[in-house]
Amino acid sequence: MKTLTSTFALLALSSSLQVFANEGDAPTVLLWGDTHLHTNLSPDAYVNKNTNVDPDTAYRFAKGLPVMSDDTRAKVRLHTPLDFLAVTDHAEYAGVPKMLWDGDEELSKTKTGARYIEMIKNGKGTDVFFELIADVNAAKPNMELHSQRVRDTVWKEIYEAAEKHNEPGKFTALIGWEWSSLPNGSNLHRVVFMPEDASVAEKFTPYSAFESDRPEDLWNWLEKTADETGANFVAIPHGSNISNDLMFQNVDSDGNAITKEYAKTRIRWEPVIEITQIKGDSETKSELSPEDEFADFETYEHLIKVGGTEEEKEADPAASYVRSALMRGLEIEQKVGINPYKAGLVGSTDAHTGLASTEEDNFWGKFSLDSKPEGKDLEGAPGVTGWDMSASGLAAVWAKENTREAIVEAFKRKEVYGTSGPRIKLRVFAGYDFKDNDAESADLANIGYDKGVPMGSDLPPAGKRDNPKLLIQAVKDPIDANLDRVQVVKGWVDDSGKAQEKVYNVAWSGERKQSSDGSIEAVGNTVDMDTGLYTNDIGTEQLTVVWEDEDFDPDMRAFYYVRVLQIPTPRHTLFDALALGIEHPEEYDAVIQERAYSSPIWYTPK
Amino acid sequence: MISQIFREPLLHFLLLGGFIYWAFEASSDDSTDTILVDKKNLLTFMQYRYQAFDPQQADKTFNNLPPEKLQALIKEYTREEALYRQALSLNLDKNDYIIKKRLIQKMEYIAEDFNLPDNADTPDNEQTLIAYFNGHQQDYVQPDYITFTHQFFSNDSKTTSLSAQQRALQALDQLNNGDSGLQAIKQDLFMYNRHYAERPQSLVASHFGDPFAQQLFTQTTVNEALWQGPFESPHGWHIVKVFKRQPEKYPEFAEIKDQVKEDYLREQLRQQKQQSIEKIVDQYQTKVEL
Repeated sequence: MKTLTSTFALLALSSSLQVFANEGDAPTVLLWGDTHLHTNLSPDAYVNKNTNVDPDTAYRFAKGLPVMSDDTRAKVRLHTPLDFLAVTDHAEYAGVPKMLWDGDEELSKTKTGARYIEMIKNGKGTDVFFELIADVNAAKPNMELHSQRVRDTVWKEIYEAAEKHNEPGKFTALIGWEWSSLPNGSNLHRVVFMPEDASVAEKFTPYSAFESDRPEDLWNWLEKTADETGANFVAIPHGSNISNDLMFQNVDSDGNAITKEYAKTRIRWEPVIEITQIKGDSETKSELSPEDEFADFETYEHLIKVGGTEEEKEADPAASYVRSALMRGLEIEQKVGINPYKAGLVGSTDAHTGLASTEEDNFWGKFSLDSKPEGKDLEGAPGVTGWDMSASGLAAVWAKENTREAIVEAFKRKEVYGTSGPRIKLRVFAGYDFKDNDAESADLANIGYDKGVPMGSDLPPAGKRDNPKLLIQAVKDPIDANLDRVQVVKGWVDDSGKAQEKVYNVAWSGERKQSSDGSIEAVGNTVDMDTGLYTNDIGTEQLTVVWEDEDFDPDMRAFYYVRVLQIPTPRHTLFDALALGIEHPEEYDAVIQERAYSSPIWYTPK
Repeated sequence: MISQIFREPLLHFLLLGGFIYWAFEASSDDSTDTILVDKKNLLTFMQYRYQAFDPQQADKTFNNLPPEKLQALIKEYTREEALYRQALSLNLDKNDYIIKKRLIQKMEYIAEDFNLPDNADTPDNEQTLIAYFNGHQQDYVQPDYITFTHQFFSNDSKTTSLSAQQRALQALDQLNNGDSGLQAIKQDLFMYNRHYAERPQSLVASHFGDPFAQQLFTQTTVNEALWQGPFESPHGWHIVKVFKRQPEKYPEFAEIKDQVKEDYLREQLRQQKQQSIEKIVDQYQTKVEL
């Protein structure tokens, strides 16, 4: 009854646009989106053949409208539209290649602009691009191209497209950009977005790595600009797998141990981490998690190197992966009192095609260059081809409604999660009082909120020695594959101050028996390698469970996150191999088990 | 006049194609049984293979190829060349409809490729767009949407001996004729949503199956006070209350002006493509002898 009462209270407030402000069966509704998308304004997108898909087209595609893909010029359309999108073009030389290739009048009046435009006319476009890239890598902008006028013009195009497409209650367009710090080829990129509109966006120019490539400087700028303009920024670090072990270090940019102040600032601006995207999955790898049989998913470790030499340094693989960062965060918290890596998790695409596509059978590539089967062999980045790319990921948000404010609020409280593409619905609550049959209750979500805390939250100490319980509901994507199993990943700090991890199988399809070591036999595989078809004869549509942590020690700080695995399905490259009429290259997986990662819930002893 | 000719993109392409063809021809003789593998041939092969004619980039890629990739490239080149020459020597290229079709495709590709959007007309005034819109209203029809809530009775419920359908019927009666309200209804956990706001039939079908979605859209009435059904889905039985149904609708021009403009431009492009192919056809005289 409570559900309907609250829904109808919202109903009374709603506009004619919406009868239900909230479609869910609880205070929150599930929204799907992409917080990380590049258009033809990003220099690397432009030279890799995305010359036409601009922010406006990107929003149209996200809303489910048919658009033309660049290069192939085929009509493309999402099977299921997104609920929100942030277009986040690189702030470094955003729009500059496009303006140069269009022969922009103002740029042609500058010395460099005139020279480049002349070179392009003479067929030396590639050389122009190499010069631009050299500037970006050296973090030394040519100020004629990085001028206030150019930056403001391009920024205006970006936020105006978002304004045009933002429809509260129906579709949210977030204003944002990407800060693309790349010291010595180490990917320290962050996307930044905010819930405010153009009236706030016009008060600043996006901070770029040309101003500084140190995260500390970005956070200072965010703080200062937030104070001056009222922008409620969220920054999301991503691509830690190609950060050259620099993303989640034990030290700051100067090599000093992380302090309380650093931890506080970092987690204020970076409440969420992007765990999976086209350039690979960053959860963990077997080197770090040898006991995890599902580690090494869509691993991608190609640094973005364009010349230059790498400094010799000690390997710290834990700084490149998210699970190890969550664990490291507990250790740091034990020492300084604040956890700098107490972050929620999402997926997003990082597509440079302007097309936020993650469906394996409807994937439009990393770049326009590799959007067609014949382009899979081409190198979009040095040494990397379309076969290396992953058709991933999406950001899922449990928000009060589909508005800019409600979505950013959900990011701030970390009630978000990520998937490698499928829209697997995932609810996770932690508490001490769940009963086994709560997992079957029609009011599961309301019970979760009433008796526990949702993903992204802190589980308060019990006060008694009861074990914490997780209430979990995982549901398959309505138009995708069945589910294999639900797992709980637990991290904790032991007596010696060292973080540990364990993966528990907590719910699975069929009658499979659990071995004494906790493992479950594989679900099977229905993928037909000759047709790219699979069946839902194995797995299940829904898994719900109340799981109790019987290894719980109330004196140890810990986190729990949930990983949901789909049954095996064809990887996007299988469709390309079939289309090309070739054998699928052996060095890549042709079949994958897609997954969802919840944000963690943390436990801190009294 | 001369400069006009040189601005003609088709000519550029033909010149470029001709140049590569010449380079290819100059360095290989299709009729011998020695296949010459040199950098020039491999570079040309690579560019054709990827349909990316950028000599500088190709050269750079080539120079950085790791030994095993170079080996693979040589192997593929040799294989292709050998099979090609053998086919030529067997005259397999003559009177082959597939080859003819391929050449036609290539020609079409050239004709299309050089009519990219920069050549497209921008509509000079709104009247043009409105005229276009009036002629294409069918393209802009917005599908019907429904807003409803449902109570769910699972086929797998373990708490009762009654069937899901019986429970749904009971609930329907209780809710419409009794006075105990929703509180008294023991419904089950439904995987997806309890409420649906302004959703198209396709989404409803993905959550409840096609027959359910069809019934919901065609066999219910909009009535905030009335529970209806029960309807069956693959999950069990449902009773529904329909709040709003927005029938299929034709939007006004003003609502979708930008989209119309984009579609108009795209249509222009298509027509230009068509015209450039017709131009080629027009260069030939047709003589019909039946």
